[in-house]
Amino acid sequence: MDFIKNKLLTIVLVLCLAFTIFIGITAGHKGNTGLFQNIISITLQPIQKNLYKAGQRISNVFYFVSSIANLKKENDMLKKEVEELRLKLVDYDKVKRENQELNSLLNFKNSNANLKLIGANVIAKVGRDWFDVILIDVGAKDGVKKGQYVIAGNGFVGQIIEVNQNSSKVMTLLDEMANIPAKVSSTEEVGLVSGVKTINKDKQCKITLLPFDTKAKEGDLVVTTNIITEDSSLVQNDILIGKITYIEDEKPNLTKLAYIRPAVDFNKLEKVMVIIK
Amino acid sequence: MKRVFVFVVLGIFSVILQQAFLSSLIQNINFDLVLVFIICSSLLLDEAESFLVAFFTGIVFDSFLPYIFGVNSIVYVITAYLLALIQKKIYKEKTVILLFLTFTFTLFKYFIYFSSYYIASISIDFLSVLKQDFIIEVTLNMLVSKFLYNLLKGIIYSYLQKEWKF
Repeated sequence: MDFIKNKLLTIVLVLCLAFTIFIGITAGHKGNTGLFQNIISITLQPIQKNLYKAGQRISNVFYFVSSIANLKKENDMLKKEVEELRLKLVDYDKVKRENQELNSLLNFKNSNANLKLIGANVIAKVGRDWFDVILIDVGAKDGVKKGQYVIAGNGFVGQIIEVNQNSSKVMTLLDEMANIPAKVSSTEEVGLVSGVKTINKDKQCKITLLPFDTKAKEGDLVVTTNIITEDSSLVQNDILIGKITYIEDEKPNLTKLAYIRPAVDFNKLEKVMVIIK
Repeated sequence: MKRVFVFVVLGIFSVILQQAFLSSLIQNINFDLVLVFIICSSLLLDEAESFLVAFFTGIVFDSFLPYIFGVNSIVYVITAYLLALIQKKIYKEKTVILLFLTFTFTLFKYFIYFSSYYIASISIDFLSVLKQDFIIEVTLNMLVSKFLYNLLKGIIYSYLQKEWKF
């Protein structure tokens, strides 16, 4: 203790230098895995898992109580929505097309029977406001590899960016650096999906690099696409990402970008599936 | 040594609390419990103790961060060192001093984060992060720091009082 006290400035400076080198090394490798990280994640995983669940439960109770107050408002809103849906029924062609699209997406698993999926629990959200990354409780020993896609019941969640022995980090599509290849289902136009930095509770993502004369419109579905033709590619086609809410010009490029409401509710994410091919 | 052990455990617990419990309880949580913990503990412990607590907590926190390792460790170690240097020269019981220190070191954290991400060539829209997150985070950090400081002070005075050496 006395040694540390006497040499504190030297130790602090040496450590700062060492950590700066670490930052350089780990940033170059685009990964933060290793024995030490493995030990820490294995040790803390059970506590994190339980605390995450506890937090979700308490949050659900608050959500339930607050939703009671909104019941009347919600009822009116739902009535309005039912009216809108009735009007939509008249537009038979549109409904038929959407129905076909949704069916193909919902039957993703059936039509891809050769795919191997494994279930996983979300155990933490890491990176705070800086990254939208979740930690799941399956890792290398379950066959998870970097680059594999993660889905939830109703859509795309993100991509595995780091794999530890029994846990993995998933960069969700809400992250600004996600860059997932995707296409607008109705027009087959390809773009890149990434997150949008927002302070709102309802996080959105966006698809960029759409052609300037794009035919995409509000309400169109966005799905993943495989631009790599290799068989070894881990990327899967036609996983629902979300619905376009708004389209605008992408400055300074001569392209358009569309904001997407994700199909998955990231605030309530507990169980996911990893496509391990 | 007992104080260091207890505070390191509390530090790791605050890391877990931050990313497993609070992140699922409050959506888009905007305060940095771990940084506030380091600030408060550094004001209460002596130089060597606060350095060790900051070092171990930083390493554990960094193990969970994607892409880069070491940013939080640098922030916490320097914060602990600077606070250990000045803590005997200021009247730390005054709330305004605690709030000012929390503000300053939250700003310092952003500075180190921005520098590190720049060095590591990670593209982050710094301006929008600063505009959207900083004001809310610093306000909440200041609020939390008052409660946490009193809590940690209570723990030290009740269980971890240093014995006088004559």
